[in-house]
Amino acid sequence: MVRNVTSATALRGQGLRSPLAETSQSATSAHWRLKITFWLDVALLVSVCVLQTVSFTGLVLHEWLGLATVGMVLAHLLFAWGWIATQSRRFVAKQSARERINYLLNLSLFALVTAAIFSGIVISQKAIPTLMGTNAAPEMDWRWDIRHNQFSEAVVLLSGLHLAINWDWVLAAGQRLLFPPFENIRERLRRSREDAP
Amino acid sequence: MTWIRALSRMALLSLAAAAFVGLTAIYGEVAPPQVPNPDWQAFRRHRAPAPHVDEFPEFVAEGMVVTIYAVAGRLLLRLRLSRVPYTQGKPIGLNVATHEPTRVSDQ
Repeated sequence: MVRNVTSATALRGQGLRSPLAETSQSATSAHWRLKITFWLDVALLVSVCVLQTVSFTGLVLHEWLGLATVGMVLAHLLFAWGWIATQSRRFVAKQSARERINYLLNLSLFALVTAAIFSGIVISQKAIPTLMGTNAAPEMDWRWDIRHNQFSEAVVLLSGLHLAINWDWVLAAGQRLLFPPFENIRERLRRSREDAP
Repeated sequence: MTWIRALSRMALLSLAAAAFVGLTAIYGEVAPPQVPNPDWQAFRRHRAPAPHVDEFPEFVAEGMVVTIYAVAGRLLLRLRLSRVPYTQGKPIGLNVATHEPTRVSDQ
């Protein structure tokens, strides 16, 4: 969910260790893990935006994509399990304000995504009736419709903040995956600086 | 072993999600019911089931909203949480107490 990484160097410490220190097999698996995590996060962010535009997607796609988000969120959380476990243990102990806010932000985001999906299931007119083999409710449940809207808007807000707090990781991972030549040059420069007396 | 670990984590996450669903259900039942205005009701009732490609700008606008939130969050988190501690910085004098208050002589 969250990686407190400020540079590609730190990113290497989390996922991509130095090829000199690691076997090529583990480096490859770490690279694949980073790739999957990065593109999963991109897919989640795009999904959040797409889910807000029902007139663009249509109701059917909106509802099925909302259900697919359950799997994406689950995978996202499983990939970030190390951070979740560590921060949950450390939450009661002494932590910086930033770490505490980060943890609460992520917890709120999880709660709101759950609430948005749940309220979406309650008011579903296409996907859930198809899955259950029943007919859609003849009258819209306005109470849950309003709640669904409120939860979705809050999810968008917290997604933006989640992106903001993880921006360094996104940038480092993006550079590594999308512009590997630049990353290699930076890495050589960094090594030459470290080797210099 | 890896599968057992993954399944136990998924079970924990599902448990947490179930707790949030329970809280949401309570909130939904307890909060006073609201009925939206007729225009909104008509709009929500007649949403097209199929996608409309010509509504793509709406998706772009939503992306811009997320970007604005992200930039705002970035500024906020940088300025508020990563600022230089008072002990390291030089205090800024506002020269509030340098001037003697002007006395109006009683005549």
